[in-house]
Amino acid sequence: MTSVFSATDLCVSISGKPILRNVSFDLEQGKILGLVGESGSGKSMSALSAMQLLPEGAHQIGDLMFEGKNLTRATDTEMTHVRGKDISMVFQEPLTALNPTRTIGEQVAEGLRWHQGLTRKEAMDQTIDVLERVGLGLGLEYGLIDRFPHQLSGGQRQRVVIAIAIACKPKVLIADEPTTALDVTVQAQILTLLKDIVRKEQMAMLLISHDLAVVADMADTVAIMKDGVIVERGPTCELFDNLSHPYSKKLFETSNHVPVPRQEPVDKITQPLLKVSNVLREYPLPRASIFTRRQWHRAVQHVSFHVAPRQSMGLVGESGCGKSTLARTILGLTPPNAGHIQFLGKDPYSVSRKDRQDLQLGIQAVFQDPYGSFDPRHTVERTVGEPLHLMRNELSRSQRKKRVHEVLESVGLSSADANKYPHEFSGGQRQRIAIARALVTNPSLIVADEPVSALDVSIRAQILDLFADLRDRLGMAYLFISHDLSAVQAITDRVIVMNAGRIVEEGPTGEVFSNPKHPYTRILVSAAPDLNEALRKRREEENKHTH
Amino acid sequence: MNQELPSYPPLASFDEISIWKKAFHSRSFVIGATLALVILIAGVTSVFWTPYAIDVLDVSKRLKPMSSEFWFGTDQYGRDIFSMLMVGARTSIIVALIAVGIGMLIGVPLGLLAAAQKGFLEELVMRTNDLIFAFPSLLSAVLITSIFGPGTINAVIAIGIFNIPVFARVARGGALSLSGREFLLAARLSGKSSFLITLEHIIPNIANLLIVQATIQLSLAILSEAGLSYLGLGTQPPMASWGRMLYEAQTMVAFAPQLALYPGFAIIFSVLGFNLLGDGLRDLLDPKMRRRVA
Repeated sequence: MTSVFSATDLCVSISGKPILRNVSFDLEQGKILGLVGESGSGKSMSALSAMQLLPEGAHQIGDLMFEGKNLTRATDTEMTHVRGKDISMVFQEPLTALNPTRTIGEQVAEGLRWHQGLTRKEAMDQTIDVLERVGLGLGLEYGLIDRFPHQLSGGQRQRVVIAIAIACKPKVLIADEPTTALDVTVQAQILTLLKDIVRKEQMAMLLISHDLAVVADMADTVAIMKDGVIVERGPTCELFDNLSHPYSKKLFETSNHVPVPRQEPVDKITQPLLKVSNVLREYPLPRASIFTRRQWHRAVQHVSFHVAPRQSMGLVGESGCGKSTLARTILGLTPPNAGHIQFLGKDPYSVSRKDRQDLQLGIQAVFQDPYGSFDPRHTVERTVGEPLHLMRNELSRSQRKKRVHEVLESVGLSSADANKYPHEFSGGQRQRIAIARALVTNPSLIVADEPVSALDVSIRAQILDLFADLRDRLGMAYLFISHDLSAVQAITDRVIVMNAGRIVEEGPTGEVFSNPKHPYTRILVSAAPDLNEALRKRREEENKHTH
Repeated sequence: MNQELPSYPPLASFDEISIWKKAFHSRSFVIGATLALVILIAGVTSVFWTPYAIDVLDVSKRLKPMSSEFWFGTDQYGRDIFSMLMVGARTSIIVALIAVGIGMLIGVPLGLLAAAQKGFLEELVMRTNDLIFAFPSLLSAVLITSIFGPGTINAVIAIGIFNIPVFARVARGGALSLSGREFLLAARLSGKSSFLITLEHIIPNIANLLIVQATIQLSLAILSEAGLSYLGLGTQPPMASWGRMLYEAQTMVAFAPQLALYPGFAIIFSVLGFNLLGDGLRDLLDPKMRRRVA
């Protein structure tokens, strides 16, 4: 195999702080190199360095060889003829990667006209060809070429971003977390597309991801990064079979980590703790003009289900399916337009203010963003103790303090942390603080809205363990909302699948995942990336080739 | 998988020690703070002591040049200019502080209310603001003081009214940028009322914005007060005011230009001082602006 692009001993520092240390890699024609690591490991910086797009104040040494030229010595003008033509890039967030004021056609044609000197008409002809290559052929019939980015779905937008990247048939394609912002079902399609393009057009690809399952599925060789250093690398199957570096072993284990499921899952509905009946929640859309009628978006449509005491209920679905809206309605934050919520037999939206506060004691929440969920000006003690405001007439100051220290210890922090501020903690610790805040009133139901989605894999494993441990130890019920099927599988006894505001399937977790009945659930389950599954498939393929 | 998180501007960090350290390296903060401090000290001192009384006219001592007896000389009525500048500093500061205080006390609650209550009330508050903004503030202050009569109190009220929409906008913008933050949801789950949430979470988090804006408004208020007094609509004699001093120096400008220069420079330095202080504070306290500057 011939190496198309090679980086040797790349070192990058930004205002004196080392970011990359002696990073070397080769990209081969028709092959994919997967670069994995957790946030801050330097994987995106490696991509920017390869494109010579380092931020201001960055200092770089090392060599980047491409077609006999050393790109580190190329001037900026020379690089403009390389970028997009010979080496191009696919970004993470398709909405910000596209220009909102120009049509899809213009944006794809731009690179063609610049690099190949085509006329407007020739470029448009080629654009149609490129859009067909990324699987948007059908859309062309509906005038996709004259549409604007906001008129497309997330998956279509990412296809357009890929079309722009491959328009000039580059030899090297760099994809930085190309599917992280997408839903699982769309992710599966985009990954297949990228793989096909690399094989068919014999490009060399650098795929950057934090997700081992994605990399194991896609890459021919894998490099694992930590703190700006590649700690281990090798052909995908071989590497995962014989991991030797302690960090990569830990990464592999935590990616595969599943908390011990409950011995006796509470998957029957007995006397319900929470009763959601026929809930409808609509949002007004902005009016097109004062003469047209206002349109409403139905986020949640006639949803009914029950949660039993001690039961851990999962709620899965893709973005925009209404799961967060439903969570807010259950929490008592936004009243439903129709239907009822009953918690402990009472409707929080129709009882008196006093009763409502008592109900609120029994239902608390953990949110997604470990950075946005705390007031930066409040100490941990004040933050965690905030829900005790509901018991302000019953608890003295010292009782309050004692309770806060108790919950901090039960989530694995120490009472000495009480006087610190949130910014002094890491992402994982912050999520523990968020859980402590939910636990402080000793609720009988915790609504967790994507509690592990923003966390790195190793931290995610710890937080999942904590959820499992608290569930078994304290015996509260969960409504665990996530698009991450493996997390839901590990934590919950029973699961609800939502799509477009409706419940499409409900049942005991094991049953739903092993034997999905609704077509949507089937798609969702099969699209979810799974590390072991990806490795198994890959081994099968390799065996086929050798025999 | 990381789901896409909404990207919020970072909230101000709580590291106060490092803020003070940075403050001494910021040129605009140091110069601005020094000028503001000098004016403040002069104003406060004038309450207890001035070199000479400013309400005693002594024509025999008129138009004296700078000397060890009269540091900045005397005016055409024989009053000590240095003493008048000190008293003028007091007038400026009192008028500016009260006017900005009026603006903050009325404007901030209105802005927070507009942010919390979407719909009719918000429209009402913000459109009224637009209306006040649409008139040049000094011109309208002239209108108010000429209707209700010249005087320090009316000047304060007129300048204060024009500070209301400024603070309403800043408070509303700050509160809106916080809306949707999960810590506000958590506070609601704790059974706290909107009033308590505003008091405990929103105001502390927009305090930086308000402090910066208040400093800049102080400089504008000093300028407005000088303008009104110059037109004879603000502070009335025998009380001294920089604007009034400028007005009185006007007829003498051909043969005693120093009479106009002293109050002129006092106005320039105080406006410059509070403006620089505001800029410096903004760089130190408001991380959004800091990034834009960097």
